[in-house]
Amino acid sequence: MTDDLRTDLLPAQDTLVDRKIVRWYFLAAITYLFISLVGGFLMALQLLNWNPHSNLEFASPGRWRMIHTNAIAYGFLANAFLGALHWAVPRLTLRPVASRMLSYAIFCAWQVVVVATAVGLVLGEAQALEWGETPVWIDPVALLGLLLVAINFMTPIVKAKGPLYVTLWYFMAAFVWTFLTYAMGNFVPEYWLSGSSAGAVGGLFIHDLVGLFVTPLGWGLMYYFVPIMLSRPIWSHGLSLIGFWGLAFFYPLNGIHHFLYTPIPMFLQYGAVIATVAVELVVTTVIINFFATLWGRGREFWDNIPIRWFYTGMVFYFLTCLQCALQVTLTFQALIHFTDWVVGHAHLVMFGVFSLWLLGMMTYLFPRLLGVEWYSRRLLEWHFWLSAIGILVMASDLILGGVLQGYWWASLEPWETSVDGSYPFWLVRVFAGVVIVAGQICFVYNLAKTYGLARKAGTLSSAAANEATA
Amino acid sequence: MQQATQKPSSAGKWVTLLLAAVILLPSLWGFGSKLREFIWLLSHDVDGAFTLMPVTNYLLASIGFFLLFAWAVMGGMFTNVEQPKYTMLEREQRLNEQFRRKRAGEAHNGESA
Repeated sequence: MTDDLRTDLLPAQDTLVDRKIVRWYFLAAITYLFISLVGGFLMALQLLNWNPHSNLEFASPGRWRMIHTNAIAYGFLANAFLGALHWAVPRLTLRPVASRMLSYAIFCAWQVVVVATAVGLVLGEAQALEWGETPVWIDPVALLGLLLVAINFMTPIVKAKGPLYVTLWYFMAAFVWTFLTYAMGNFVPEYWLSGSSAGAVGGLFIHDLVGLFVTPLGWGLMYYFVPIMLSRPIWSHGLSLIGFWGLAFFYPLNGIHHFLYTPIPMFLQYGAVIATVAVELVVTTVIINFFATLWGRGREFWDNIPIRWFYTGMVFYFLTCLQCALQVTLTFQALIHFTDWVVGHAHLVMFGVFSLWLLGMMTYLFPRLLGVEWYSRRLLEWHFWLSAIGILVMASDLILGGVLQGYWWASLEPWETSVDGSYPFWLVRVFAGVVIVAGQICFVYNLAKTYGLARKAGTLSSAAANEATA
Repeated sequence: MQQATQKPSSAGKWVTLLLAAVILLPSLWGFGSKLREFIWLLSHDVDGAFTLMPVTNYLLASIGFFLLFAWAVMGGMFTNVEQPKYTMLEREQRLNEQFRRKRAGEAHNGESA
């Protein structure tokens, strides 16, 4: 055993993980999740002509749609990832983050960025770039925040001894990629490029935000949480590294596939198609690795709720990537472009995969953060099943509706035909959304009650929680 | 827990090699042919320079990773490629063990007092 692993030489838990900041990030994430759900709900109602406040400009569904997407990306996902990183990085490296004070400063600054973005969007001040709608003056602040995040987490990773575990490879890449992606998407089209060139960069930005920010953090955390919860190592670390390096080399060119049939040179479009199919092959190796890790312990899927969240998300991930590999072909794209297929695909990725993973991490971590068990396992079950069934119904509904829309358009039917035909699908989407919201209400109620238990037990303070959850 | 020194089975090695070949060869072929097309377009087409912007973005990202990959290989990061998964799990177990000991020690002190 190396000195690093001797129990008596390990750093004390209190000096490694600051549980309070993890809790703060998770609570902020849950708040933005609800804001995002409200935005999505307003947009879904608008499609049914049920807009509850059609005369209020600041509450127009067009603006709330942007809040829906920005709140889920920068409010929910970013905050939840930052919380999980504050738990995982110190435990993986046996070193605390560079500065706790910096962690709290970043937390406050990031909330200012997200709230200012929301206020800017409500007031109609938005950049004309999907997922880059953040008002122009916020961009430098957000970029500075991402730089500080990288410094705070890279410090312990760089100091770690020996060959790196795959999670840390993913994290290192994510910190560099996210900074570069954000800079590329928010500054290059705004100040230096226009027309098709700006469109090409915009395509890279929106896809890289998923593939180079959310994906490496998500998979990195899966490679950490799944083995420790199953108490067995990942099936093949070598295969996991193939997954990482495959993502590194194949993913960056993918984004152009958002702009097939545009003036962007065809060799770039074909390159994006091939890169996307290559990523699907890489993803297959990752999925094989995780299911091989679970092999022989399938019962865990039913008994262990966080594991269920994780593996359900993985199945959805495989499906979205398979869908991606098919929909980027030119023939398929001609049918589904601009249809609700794309909307279904996006929801399956962002909620069905990454949100499910993060909610699973919260399910695992909150008892460790609060020092008490969950108030109700039954509510945890409801949370999972309502979320999983809700997103499955919503995505299936939109994907199917999208195919029909594509055929209506291709057959040159009047526009109204496709609108009328889409109505039942949009109605189902609203009810699927209600199911998802109901699941999150179960979660928040359960969390509030668990907080109450922690207060009674006196385990809310960081040190007390450390002792109680050991 | 499995020992860190355990060698992977030959079947495992073959599966890894097969997967690597299935993934890498078509991808390399695809990228190679598109690279050739790109060079032709850049040198023959009047708007060829237009292609540089997204490709430059890609190269900036991938060259960085080529360098990182080279650094990792030369630094011995992949010498025993399976070792980190055992180390990670062992660290977690040691951390949990440390907390259990601390709690047991404090409980014992509390009883003595």
